[in-house]
Amino acid sequence: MQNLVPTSRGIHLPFDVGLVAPALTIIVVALVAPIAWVLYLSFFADQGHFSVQSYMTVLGSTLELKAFLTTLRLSASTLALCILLGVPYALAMTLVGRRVATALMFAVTLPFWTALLVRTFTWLIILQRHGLASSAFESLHPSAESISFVNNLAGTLIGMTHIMLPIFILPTYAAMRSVDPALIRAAISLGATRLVAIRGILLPLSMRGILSGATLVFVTSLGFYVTPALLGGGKVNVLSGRIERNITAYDDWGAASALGVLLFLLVGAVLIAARFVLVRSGRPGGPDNE
Amino acid sequence: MNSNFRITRAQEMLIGLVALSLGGVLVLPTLLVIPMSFSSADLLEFPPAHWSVRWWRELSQSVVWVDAIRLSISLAIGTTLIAVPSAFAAAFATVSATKRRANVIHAALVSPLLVPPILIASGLFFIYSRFSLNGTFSGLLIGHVLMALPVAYLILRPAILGFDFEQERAARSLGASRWEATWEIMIPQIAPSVVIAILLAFLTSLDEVIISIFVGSGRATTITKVMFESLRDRIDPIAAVVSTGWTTVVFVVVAVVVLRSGSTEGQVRVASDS
Repeated sequence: MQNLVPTSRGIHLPFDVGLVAPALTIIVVALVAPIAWVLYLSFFADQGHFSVQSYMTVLGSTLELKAFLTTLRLSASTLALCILLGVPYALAMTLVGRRVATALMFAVTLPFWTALLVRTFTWLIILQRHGLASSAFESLHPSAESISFVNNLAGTLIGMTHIMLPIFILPTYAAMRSVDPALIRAAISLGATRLVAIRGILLPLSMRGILSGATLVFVTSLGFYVTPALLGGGKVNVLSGRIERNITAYDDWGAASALGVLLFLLVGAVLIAARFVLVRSGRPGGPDNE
Repeated sequence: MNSNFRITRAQEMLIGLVALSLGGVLVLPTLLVIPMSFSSADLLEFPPAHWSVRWWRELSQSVVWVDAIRLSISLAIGTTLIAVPSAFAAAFATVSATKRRANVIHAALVSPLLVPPILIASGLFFIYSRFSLNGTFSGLLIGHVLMALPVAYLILRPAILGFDFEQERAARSLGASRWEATWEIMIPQIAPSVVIAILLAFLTSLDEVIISIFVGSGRATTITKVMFESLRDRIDPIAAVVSTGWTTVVFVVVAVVVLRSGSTEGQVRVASDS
């Protein structure tokens, strides 16, 4: 037998590199290699000569810089809406009985696995001019002009929030459910109101789940392409959209790659920052023991 | 946990009602396509003025859509066949690995979820242009397997971790080979998770948009690419028909997943572990 070493679970099974080989091969071929190639192209797009021209082009263009701002703004707004709607929703799932909680879980899981395009498509129909949303708006304000919710940032934001909300709720709910119920019982039997129990115990103890959900939503939003492209109607230029335009419309692989590298760095920075916060928040003992 | 909070029945109903209405807002848009697909109008409208199966008939006669559906389904099957065993083997390996190694494997396997798909898609497109893999089935397959891998892994790993390895040892000591012990003792016990991993790997491939748009073309055009272009340029009512069929498949899969008790755990993990 090969290396019989203490393992994460204390089981003495031989570790077999062959078992991870297929998965790691796929990751190297389909993930590491493309990223490496994009990095290479961002510097060597000019017939294999090193140059930072692609980065100069990208950073010197108002269009690309605006795309950066739009991407950040859209992602931050999506995250804010997810927290605003998702935390109470997860809380409700924790508070209600089993049957209602299952129904609430189903309401999150079904959209989570419904095709991204189908969801974007239905929002396109709901939000379009003379669609459901604008008819409802007109019946409330008969004098107002017919308005459209698509082809702008508002429509994109609605669609993105709908798509991201399950991704936020699932980890948040998991964290809330894993809080030891005895703590809540103890607090309430000692005279705490339910609100205090929620604010003082449940929320702080599920902060890690909320943070990881928030990170996932923000990072995914940063790279979003489909929803802004369809609901933004060409008016919402996000980074992913600029990458696509640079490839298909301008055939400028260097600029597309430079944008890709910058997007990658942005995502990496957010992940590292989130990890830093998570590690700090997970410090044993907590602030009271300092 | 309601008993811990000492919440009354009335309060619970009120909270449930408010949350369910938000849940309704989450679910309804996914169901709206069903009535829309039975409209007779040339342009999509909701609610439809007249009902008909016109667009269902048009779908069955549209070569572009039917070919794309066929391709997407074979692609999803191929993806599942490669991604699930690879993910299973890797998840199995993390159990016997040292903690450090297990962490590295874990990080590698969830990483496809964190990298912006547009970066993967454009990178694959650039590389494929050198090897003439753009517009091929294998080109799409490589990309889709990458996306399905973390999904299958995140569902299989907790199942394997929860398996009682004493049983495997017993089987081995009684003369079973490692393969036999895994296939005949372990897999039957974690079968529900394996089924869920298969279903969700399949859906992941079916749902993949960005790699499909960049890499796919010609005969290797997925349903997502056809649909994306239809929605971007001029909304083809056939899209509503396709969406209806698609949502029905998802509905069945999710019902299977949620009804299997404890399987929502896997769902939660997919979102939280990454």
